[in-house]
Amino acid sequence: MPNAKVIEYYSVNSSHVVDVSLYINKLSVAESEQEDLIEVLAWQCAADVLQVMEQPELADKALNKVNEFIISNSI
Amino acid sequence: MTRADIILKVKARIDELSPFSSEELNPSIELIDSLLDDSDTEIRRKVPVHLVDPAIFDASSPIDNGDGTGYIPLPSDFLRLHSFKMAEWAVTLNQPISESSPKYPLQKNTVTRGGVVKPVIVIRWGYDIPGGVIGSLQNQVFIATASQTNFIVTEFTPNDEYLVYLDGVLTTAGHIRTSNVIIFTPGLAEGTEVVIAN
Repeated sequence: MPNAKVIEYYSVNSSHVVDVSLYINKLSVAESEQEDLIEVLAWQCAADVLQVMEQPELADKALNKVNEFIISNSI
Repeated sequence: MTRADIILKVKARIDELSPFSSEELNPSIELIDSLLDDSDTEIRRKVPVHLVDPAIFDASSPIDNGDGTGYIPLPSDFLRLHSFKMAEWAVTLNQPISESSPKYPLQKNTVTRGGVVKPVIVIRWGYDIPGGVIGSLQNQVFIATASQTNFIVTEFTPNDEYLVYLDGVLTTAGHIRTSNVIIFTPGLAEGTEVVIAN
């Protein structure tokens, strides 16, 4: 059974030395999130809560706030 | 910021939307608390990658496939790639492809695969191999016919360290290798899944 993700690289001439290996990790607790993402996190969580409370229209409004953040910060 | 502070922020955002609702919304602290960590994971998956502080994964021991390619196990908390570069490469990559990409089959050919000028990276699932090695990327799967004894490996060249899994169970006895043929004695039952890996 597959149970671990790997990164495959194609290809090198001779050296298998890695220069840069950066990733986005899952945080064990949300309070470890960086300060500048807390606002958008609050909107995402609001959307998730509203979905559970069967308020899909309000959840969409909250998700729109998340999307506005993403669009305004896209390069 | 404390967890309690974040939960209060979530409640405040819901309050902002409440005038649009015909009913009073008053979600419990417990409900917000139970969803908060998953919400954070979702955010880290979808906001632009340059906004998130990256972490470093251990790439000090790449597994060399012996043909100019290799692979590196990723940590269990991996969500997305931020950037990756081999020392020889001319560029840093931040867009991996998946196995479903049309570019993926091209990587199996030495002529069409990525090189140091236009490299390619793939993120895919690997496999745990007993003994601690993760990510056997060379394997071939067969379904045995009745009493089948010989399995000809065509997708890679097995060596003396080949591994055999029968219906998902590592099996060390009852087979030998002659070149790229794995020979079972006695023959296998019809329908047995045979995975030969290196």
